[in-house]
Amino acid sequence: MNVKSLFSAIGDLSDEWILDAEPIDAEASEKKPIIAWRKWAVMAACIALACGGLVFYAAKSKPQIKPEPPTTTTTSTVTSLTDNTSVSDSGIVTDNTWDISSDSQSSASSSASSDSSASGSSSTGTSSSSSSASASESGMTHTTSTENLSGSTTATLATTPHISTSTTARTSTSLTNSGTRTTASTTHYIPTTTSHTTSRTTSSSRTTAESTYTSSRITRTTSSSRSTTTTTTTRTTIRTTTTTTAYTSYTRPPISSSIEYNTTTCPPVSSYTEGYSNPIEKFPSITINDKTYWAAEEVDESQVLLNDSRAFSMWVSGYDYSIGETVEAYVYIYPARGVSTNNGYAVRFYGDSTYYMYRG
Amino acid sequence: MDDKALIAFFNARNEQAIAHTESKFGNYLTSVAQRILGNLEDAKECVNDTIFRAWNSIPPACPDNLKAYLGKIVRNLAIDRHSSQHSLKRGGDNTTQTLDELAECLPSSEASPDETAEQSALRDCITGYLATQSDENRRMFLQRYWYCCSISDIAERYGMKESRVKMRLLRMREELREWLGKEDWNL
Repeated sequence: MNVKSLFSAIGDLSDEWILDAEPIDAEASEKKPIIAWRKWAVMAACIALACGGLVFYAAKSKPQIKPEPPTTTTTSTVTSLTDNTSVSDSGIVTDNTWDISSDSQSSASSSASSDSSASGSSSTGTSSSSSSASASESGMTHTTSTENLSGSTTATLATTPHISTSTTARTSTSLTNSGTRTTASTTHYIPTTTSHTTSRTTSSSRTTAESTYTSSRITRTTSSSRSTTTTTTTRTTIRTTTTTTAYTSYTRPPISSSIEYNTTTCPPVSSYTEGYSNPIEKFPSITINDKTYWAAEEVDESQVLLNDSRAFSMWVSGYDYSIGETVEAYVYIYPARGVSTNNGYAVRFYGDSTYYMYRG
Repeated sequence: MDDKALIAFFNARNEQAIAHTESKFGNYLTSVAQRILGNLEDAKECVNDTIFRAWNSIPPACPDNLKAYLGKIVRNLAIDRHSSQHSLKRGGDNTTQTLDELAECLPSSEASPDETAEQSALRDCITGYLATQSDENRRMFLQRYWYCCSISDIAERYGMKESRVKMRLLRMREELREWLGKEDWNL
């Protein structure tokens, strides 16, 4: 036996052992150590990406109103609506007044004088309520007046700036009841009008009061005197939309009440506005039973059906406390920002009252 | 392609067996031959010879493990080539050192008259000895004396110092010498 035979004998060992002992090249098997800072860098990058994604998602999902460049829109809308109002002897009438002012020169005295023709000619009665006028510089004023129809009238004024635009929109209603009737003048928030004339006529003896507002001032005058129990009032509203002017920002006015969803038939929508010209008009409006309602919150932009990338159509329904009816209509909505709920898709409308609209 | 399919190609005398064998085991065979020969070109020639020999030997041979079978062939061919290129015990390369070390295991330097029969018996004896060793020692032994790995490679692979590897192999050689002595391999 020599070295070579021993070497050859080792070469004939078990296959299993030979393959088990197979050396793996160090170069191939060598695992390069992971550099510590690289690991931390990768972790930091991942965290940064995740945080960035969250921030982006949060910013994207947050509803925002972006002001659009002012445009000039001339729209003339004539609507009429009938209101059956029941007033008890000891009832309390609450007027919600929305005023928008863009003129810093507005003042209480001036607004009072502007309304004096309407209220002065109509109010005759045993008691007379106070009149209130409010004005805010470049803002919206919400004036709430509570009148006790029994004679003693109190007026409270709450001023809440909601808008700082130069666009004015108002609806004014003047009610005069000759002899013993309450006269109330309210100014309603209408997003798209700058001048407005309203006359209201009672079924009995009446006086028509007319007020015309040109722009930029908030005026409210209330005078009341009462002796009637129930009055049926027919209102005719003439609304004229003229020109929108510059604005800086906008905040939606608060909703006065909410109404639950109800699905019953209702008269169709007679008209609607798309609302593109300014931020206020971005809230669409529909007209049901000769009453106009404005979207208080916009709709989910992903729910679009029409050609317009932001528009969609839907059936809406709701109960209108002001007319005591449930209304339902197929409307076209041109959204400005999205609101979605778990219960589906909600659109809030309001005019003289508040609607909660649900997609049908 | 698994070994059975390759062997089937060999049996069918399909020349695709050569290409598949080279693609599957070429790197392994080359590494074995290069460790013995220390030359890549010689190793590749040795691999070609190995495949040619496998082509001639299969059939009738039908190895259970084709990789080990080819490994043994390439090892023997590499040893033969190395012997023809270098005079034994005169070189300072790795294989020569390996053979020198293995010479320490021989109880006597006398050659056996019947080396063929002796080879088989010696293999069984070495197998019996290695079976008594731990897996790590056995792998270390085979890497040194089958694959002709250098001490430094083994030390690096096992995370040891070279001196420790040398000492462990020295002890195994001494034990193998005693083992062979007990089996009367010095007769």
